[in-house]
Amino acid sequence: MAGSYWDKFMHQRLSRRRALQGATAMSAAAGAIWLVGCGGDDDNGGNGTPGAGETPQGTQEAGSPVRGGTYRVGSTADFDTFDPYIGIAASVGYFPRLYNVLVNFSAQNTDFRFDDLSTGFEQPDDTTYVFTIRQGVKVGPNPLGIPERDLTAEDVQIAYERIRTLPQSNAYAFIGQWMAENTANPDGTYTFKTPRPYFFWRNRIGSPINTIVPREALEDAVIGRLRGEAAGAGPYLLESYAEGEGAVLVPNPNYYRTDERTGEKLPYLGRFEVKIITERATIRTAFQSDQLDSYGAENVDEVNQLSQGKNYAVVKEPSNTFIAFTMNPTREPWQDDRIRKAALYAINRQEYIDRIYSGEAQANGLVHWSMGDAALSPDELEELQPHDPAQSRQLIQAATGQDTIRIKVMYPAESAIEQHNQVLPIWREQMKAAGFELDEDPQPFPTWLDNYTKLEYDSSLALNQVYEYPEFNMDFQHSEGPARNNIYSTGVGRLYPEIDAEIDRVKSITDAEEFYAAIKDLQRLIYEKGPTFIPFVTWNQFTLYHPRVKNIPTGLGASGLYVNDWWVDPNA
Amino acid sequence: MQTFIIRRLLIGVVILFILSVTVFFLLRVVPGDPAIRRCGLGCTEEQLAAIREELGLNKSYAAQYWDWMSGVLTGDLGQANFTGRPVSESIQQRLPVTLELMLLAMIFTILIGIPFGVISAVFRNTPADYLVRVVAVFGLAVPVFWVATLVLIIPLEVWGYAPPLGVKISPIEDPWGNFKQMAPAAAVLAIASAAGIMRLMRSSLLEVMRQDYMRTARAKGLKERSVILAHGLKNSLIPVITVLGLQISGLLGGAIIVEQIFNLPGLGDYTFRALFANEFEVVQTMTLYAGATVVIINLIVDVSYAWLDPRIRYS
Repeated sequence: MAGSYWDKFMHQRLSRRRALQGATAMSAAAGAIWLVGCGGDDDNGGNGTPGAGETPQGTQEAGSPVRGGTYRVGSTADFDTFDPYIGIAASVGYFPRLYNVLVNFSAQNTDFRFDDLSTGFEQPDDTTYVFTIRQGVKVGPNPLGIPERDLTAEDVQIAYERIRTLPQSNAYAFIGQWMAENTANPDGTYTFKTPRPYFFWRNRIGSPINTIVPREALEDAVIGRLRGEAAGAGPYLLESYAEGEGAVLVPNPNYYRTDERTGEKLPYLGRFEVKIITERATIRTAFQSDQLDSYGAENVDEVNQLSQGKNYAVVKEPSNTFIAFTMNPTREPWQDDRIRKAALYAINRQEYIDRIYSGEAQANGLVHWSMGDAALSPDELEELQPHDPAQSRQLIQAATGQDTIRIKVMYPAESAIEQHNQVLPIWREQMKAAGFELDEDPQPFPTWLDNYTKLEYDSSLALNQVYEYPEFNMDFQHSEGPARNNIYSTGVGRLYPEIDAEIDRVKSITDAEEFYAAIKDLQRLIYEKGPTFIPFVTWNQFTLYHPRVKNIPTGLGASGLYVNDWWVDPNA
Repeated sequence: MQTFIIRRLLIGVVILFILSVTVFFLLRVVPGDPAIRRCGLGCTEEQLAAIREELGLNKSYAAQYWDWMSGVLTGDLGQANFTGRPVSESIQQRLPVTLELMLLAMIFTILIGIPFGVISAVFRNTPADYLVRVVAVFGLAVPVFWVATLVLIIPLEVWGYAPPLGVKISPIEDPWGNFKQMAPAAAVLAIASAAGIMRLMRSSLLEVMRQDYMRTARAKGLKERSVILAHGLKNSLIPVITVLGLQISGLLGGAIIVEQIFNLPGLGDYTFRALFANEFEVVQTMTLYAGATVVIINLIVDVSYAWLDPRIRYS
């Protein structure tokens, strides 16, 4: 499974986005699943090993659900707390299993919407959302002494109020900036109001860090126990947790949801075991020796290797992460549009796709390709960011009078993160071919991160987080950077205030169709001026499942964590 | 002897103080902000400030050191920055795993190192001797992490077998399962120490076999086996036993790698993860803990050496 800088650096500590993706990959929420009989040419029952450049195949016929199976998954990160408002690391990926959100929208599949604690919402205006709270979302049996009662609008209101008053909470940036009103109405509905229209509200309100905990769990006498225990109305209950070893989840007997196809109660699993295994080689060993039911492969080559003679189901999904090149427009020569464009045209994304990812990746524009309707088409990207080192040299010539220019670039040295050690030499060659002479400054990762955070760099290669929706992509181009607090980057908006204004305007569009059109126009505008943050490619990640795992949800990205109509058939 | 012990303990306190200051200072000058690492991308200044205050990072270094040490001296080992779990609780949970691993490793070290060291000495300059010596050098030279990885991968590829990975198996509830889980890791951990004991046993026994009383024993008509085992072995074990004690420190360090690879939730694994997560409290406390262990073990070894060999006297 690919890991971000946060992941590899901290070893056990993941950014919430990285943990989310990890839990997604390991918890049967995925992108395209390749099935024999669904367009494949394999006629040997699905056990064929793909050749070079071929898509890995697996077989997974769903059949009738089987209740009570055990699903075993490995996690490289330990759980830190089951408090969804401050938890990071592995915990984040399991909050949707234990708790509820009002509603979740998939960033990858814009047709997917999961109404959970609410049955729906009305929007009287662009900033107001009035939720109808679902009846029967009942807290499960728990060791915290919290009554098994229905969650109400008051629970939502108290949960968000806690986030608002707790600056160290993960969702503080969202709630603090974007919650203008938080009201449990007398008629049992709940109102959330934003200070101004905000499109990404739909992506953030359903995040695992905004899940709803029964209000009793947030009382002073109880809240500390969330370090190792949990109480919620989600599909599972936390049966046990041992630090450094793992957790066991069991079905919540009070869970409200039924399978739409069969009418049967969900979830089907009888036991969900999460084993903490920090070493990748060890996780792989555990999977191959049938101690785990799924494994996130490093790349397609590993998939091919492991699949030989086996009947694993292979699920492919975009990783939603990328390596990028960041330029600081407050420093020479990056203030010059021509130099930034020269750097843009120096990048041959296909070369990374071919040499590093064996074809299992796609070129990114300013919004990565997996963001569906928000991303520009490959054809248009070819026009906006062509690989043209000759043009790069011309631009450098026009800007400096010479066809080469010396630039300073820093990067984390000796990094095995996200194939960085493979990207670097290719990128170096490409930049040199385009006329850039590099003054390289390799730094230990902590040093590099410090400098990147404090904007103490001319240019830098790579910082890859998991980007679940395109907001940060745009904010990297904003003068205040992705967090709007002048850390990590200062974007081209520093040079062109109209770009800052347009970024803010696009974010305030709440109509989806209008938004997707506008974000594409915004990208075109930024290309016209010369972006300061250039994503390279986003690769596919692969998860292998033992054939006993059935009905794996597909195409939903992280939203698949909310889907629990899959099962394990021990007889398969 | 009493004076000796008191002096060593006082020196130990000084050593631990220096160790605590060193590790405390090093953790704070190494680049990296735990608050940013916890907060992630999108963090506001307000969030960072709140986290720093929560973690005590907004205080002066002296205040932070005092908070930590005063807690340690009163039995409060602090808590992990990110999980909030008391360090003492984690130690209590993980110590049995590490102790069991080290105990098993010591058993393997003794069972392998001593007999083969004897064989090598008794059959000196024969193919058996050469083989043991080559194996010993190999055992000292080969990296633990490499061997550990092979021990996992080879049985998997050949037989499809791997030891239980994941949740720790209780030795009381499932002794055989526990042995299957711990034995491979302990065997890997024992390789270097067994190799060292092999070589030391050989040289020590060879030294003893050259003594006059050994010649006397043979002259009296005793069988060679009795000469070696009854007279030679006991005396040659004195330095071996003391070195075995000192090797505990090495096993403690090696356990970090082995616990990682074999996924054993022991103290080594705990410390390793904490180091990479900038868990200051945990790393500081565990370093102090390891230092205290080494100081105490060294003292015990030195005292036992005097007890084992009556010729040794400490002033």
